Amino acid sequence: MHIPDGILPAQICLGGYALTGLTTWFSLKQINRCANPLEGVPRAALLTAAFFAASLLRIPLPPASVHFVLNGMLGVVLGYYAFPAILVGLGLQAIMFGHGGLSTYGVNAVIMGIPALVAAALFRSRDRLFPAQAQTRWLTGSFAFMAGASGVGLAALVFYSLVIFNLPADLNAQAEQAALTTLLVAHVPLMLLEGAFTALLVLFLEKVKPELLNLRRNTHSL
Amino acid sequence: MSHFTHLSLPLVSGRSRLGVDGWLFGAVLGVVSLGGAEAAIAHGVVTTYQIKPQIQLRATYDSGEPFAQAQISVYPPNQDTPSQTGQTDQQGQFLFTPDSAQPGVWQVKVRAGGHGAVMNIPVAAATAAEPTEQAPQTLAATTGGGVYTPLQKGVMVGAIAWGCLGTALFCLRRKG
Repeated sequence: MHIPDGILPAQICLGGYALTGLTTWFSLKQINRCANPLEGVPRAALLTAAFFAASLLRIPLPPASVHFVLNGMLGVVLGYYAFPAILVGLGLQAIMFGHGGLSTYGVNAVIMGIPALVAAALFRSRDRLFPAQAQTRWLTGSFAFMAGASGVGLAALVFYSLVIFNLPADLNAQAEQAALTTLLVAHVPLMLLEGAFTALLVLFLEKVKPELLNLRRNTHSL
Repeated sequence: MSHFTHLSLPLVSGRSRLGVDGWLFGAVLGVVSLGGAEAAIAHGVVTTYQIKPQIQLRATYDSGEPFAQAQISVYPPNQDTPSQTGQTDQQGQFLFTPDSAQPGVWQVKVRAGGHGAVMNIPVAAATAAEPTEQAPQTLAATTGGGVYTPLQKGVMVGAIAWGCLGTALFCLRRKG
């Protein structure tokens, strides 16, 4: 899921940095609109650590090997805080483990950060579509599952599209397409896993600390 | 060193024993033997060898699994088109011979499924007329942080988690 240095042309890398800068500015602006912007920082800090460590948890799905991303879960729990949290986590992953590169840092933030915001919006749409009385645990769990799965699914699709549309001419395009398709298919079980994990976490938080997810009262949420 | 094999047919003639028929047979055989000399040479086997420095790459994921069936592109110094392309084997290995007439930094790109690495390999100009035996050198290129043991990774994750926990506690502190 992390694109390393040397895979994408320079224009795409620069575009990734520009889009990341814009999204970070937008996210911070939204965070700053809430009464106490520091309120969400402890959660964001702890989930940044979870995101950072998740890339080390590999799931062998022969012939490919995938790792946890957790961007959908971050979007559901953190809202707009998810993008800066993913940005920090990706930077640490690139510097310490070499997952991704520094030239592709912006692109990787777009690949994982923007789907996190989409996942957050999807989960929050529950409040707009259903009144509070109609929100059962099953409904909450279903929305959390869809949001968690869509985060990693969208990220895999963006990754696939970026690489497939920027293949160098000297590369065997057929072989690369086959490898990329295999990798994309290998993310389907990961989507189910991350969806289930997000649903369980949301149902747990709703039971023990519902204010973390009650978005009607949190202005910084999507 | 070269090895050269030349095959030819034996010319047999015996006037006193073979008579006219023997002459005719001998003449025909001689024509066949002499006229077909070039063809006989073309069937020979010429084998030469030359000792050249070779570079063996081994590509693995940072988890240690071989980066098998990955595409390789080898770029000579200051060139945008690869001089050689290929694939790694099941062990993630690939062997190539850089042209010593093009000294400089050769670039090798390894990639498969959007993952990969770029390796810069310095190649010196050939100076010695006779090849000398050298100990194999092992160089490594990684996409960033390098290959760590599980313990090292655990310590790094622990350090980052500790930092994040500190940040969380700092924001939760009571303001006096």
